[in-house]
Amino acid sequence: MLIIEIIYGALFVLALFSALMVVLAPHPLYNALYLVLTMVAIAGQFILMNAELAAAFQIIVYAGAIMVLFIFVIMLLNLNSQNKPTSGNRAVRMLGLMFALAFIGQIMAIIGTIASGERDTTVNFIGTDAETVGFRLIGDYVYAFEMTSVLLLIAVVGAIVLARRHLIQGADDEDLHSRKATETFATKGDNS
Amino acid sequence: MELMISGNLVLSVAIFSIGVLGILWKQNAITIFMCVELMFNAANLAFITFAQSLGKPEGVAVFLFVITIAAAEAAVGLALFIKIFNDRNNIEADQLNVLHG
Repeated sequence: MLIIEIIYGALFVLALFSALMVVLAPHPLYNALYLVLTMVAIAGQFILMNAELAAAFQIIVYAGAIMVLFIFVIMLLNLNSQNKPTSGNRAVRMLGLMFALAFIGQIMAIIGTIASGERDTTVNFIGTDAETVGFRLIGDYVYAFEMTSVLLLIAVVGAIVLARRHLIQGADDEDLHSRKATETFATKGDNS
Repeated sequence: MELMISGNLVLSVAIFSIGVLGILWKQNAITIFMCVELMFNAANLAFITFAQSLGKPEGVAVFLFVITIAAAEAAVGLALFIKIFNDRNNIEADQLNVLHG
């Protein structure tokens, strides 16, 4: 029992530290890697709560797919975050800090009142196995499930349309052709 | 084990607040996006904590929906960032003022 509490404390500290480093680390690539660390720590918390299905999805989909997409885009864009304008928005930053602290205080007060109300609830994480979750997903939530598949399709189509280089086919094609013509003309002129 | 429930809720609130702080502090749009993912993770942690402590599988189902929506949002958002970066060569959120917002 003690070893579980030690693991829990270590995961708690790791998740908190890496979540802080997501905000504090200077480069976006470090932010992404610390975010992966946060997700792995939270997956460890899921395993401690006997939620193996959630932990597997957290690792495979979140840390494995979404964060790889983030890191891929960061490497594709080749960002340099050295030139940081920090002048004009100091008031906004202080306001952000105040909002975050107020939010923490509020929620902690709510948790405190709930926890002090019924202290004697012995919870043993009866949990939810994958079979129950799957039947619930295609039973009660089948329409939401289908809607998420439609949403994913829309997202894929939207991402492809957005990331294409030439959105308006006719005008950009004309532009491209004319540019190509001038380029070939220029190289020919250089050669001759 | 009860320490684990309230501890997980405290951790969830802390990570969510760090996400809010990051959104209001950072200028890089991709980092702001990552802070949104951080807030999603905090909400997921609360969902799974309640699902496991109350023995209800609905929490895990909602967790799967949240992951799906996060994936769709990441795909569209990162495509937008690629487009913006191609247009103006940086993605600092302070300089994206075309709409005068």
